[in-house]
Amino acid sequence: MKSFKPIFILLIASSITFYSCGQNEGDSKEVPKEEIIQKELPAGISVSDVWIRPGGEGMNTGAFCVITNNSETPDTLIGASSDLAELIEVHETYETESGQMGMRHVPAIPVEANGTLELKPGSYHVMFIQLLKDVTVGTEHSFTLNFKNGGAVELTGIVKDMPGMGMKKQGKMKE
Amino acid sequence: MKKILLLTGLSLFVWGCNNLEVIEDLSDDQYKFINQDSSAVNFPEKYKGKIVVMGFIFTNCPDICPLTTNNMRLIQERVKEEGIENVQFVSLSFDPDFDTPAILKKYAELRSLDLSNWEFLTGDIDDIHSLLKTVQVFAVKGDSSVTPKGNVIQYYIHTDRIALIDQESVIRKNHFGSKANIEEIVDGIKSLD
Repeated sequence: MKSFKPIFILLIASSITFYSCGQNEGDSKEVPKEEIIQKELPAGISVSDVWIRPGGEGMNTGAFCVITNNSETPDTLIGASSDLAELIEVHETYETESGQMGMRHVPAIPVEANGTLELKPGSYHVMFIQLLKDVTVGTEHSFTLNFKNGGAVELTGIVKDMPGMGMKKQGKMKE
Repeated sequence: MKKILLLTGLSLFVWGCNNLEVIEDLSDDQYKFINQDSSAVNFPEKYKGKIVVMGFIFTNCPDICPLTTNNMRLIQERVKEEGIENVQFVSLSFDPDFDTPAILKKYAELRSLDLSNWEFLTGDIDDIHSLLKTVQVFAVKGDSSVTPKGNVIQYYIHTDRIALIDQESVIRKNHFGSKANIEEIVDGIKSLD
């Protein structure tokens, strides 16, 4: 036990030194109060019913899910990421005044405090652009949704043609 | 005047038979397309004598067009259940630059579609636009995405459409594609059968 004593003292001393350095660096930056509050909040985001449409290598496909904000603070979906495709964006299907259907990139979607945002057919969806491999029915794939406050939320979704079609397994958040 | 009376009489007779109006007569038209196997298709000549359920899609569409395609699959299944045999399913792409026969074939395979009475068509852009204009399906380039490698992925603003065409190549009813009422379309097919 005695032999560990000098090392123990050295470690405490080092910690104090590092702490002091950190404090000095921190003192030189003014962290906005809002950012501190946000970082102190729990993620508060849960995601369910994750599913992905089938798609082929080099083609596009979409993913859908239900996002719930369990916190008292509004959040914003600011994007998605995955190694499944060249590019991942959050898109919105919309109808023009003359009844035509279109699709566009949406950089941010609000998720109300204690509210739910549904990414569903005919509406918002995660867009996988230029898939790097085939995404076939019955397989599972991971991707990440990025929230302004909640940070990165990793998901796994099952591939199926339509919600409720054939597959009993549901997509889920990664534990 | 005689011609108008004849057409009116014919329309009333046809309407009386199946309650479906005459929207557009394609019987004198000729469009050259190719299917998912790269075989030439003379449209609508090839399908004359069959009831045609026709959807309009582009495969880079991850939302509306898969819904339309899935609705066509559901109609195909219902038609099979009803024992109606004289029905052809056709999906025409309005993005021939991307939608080659190989891409269309893969699109169908990924969805395990029954291609025994279903063809996916593509072809020359002028032929496609000519048919779209005739059947009043709107499809123009809209937003796009650019991948990190600089590839531009084009999206379209388009009509959401499944058309029901009779055995004489006359469009008899236009339905929404992604929000199609399956039973209404099946009833339409039954009335034409």
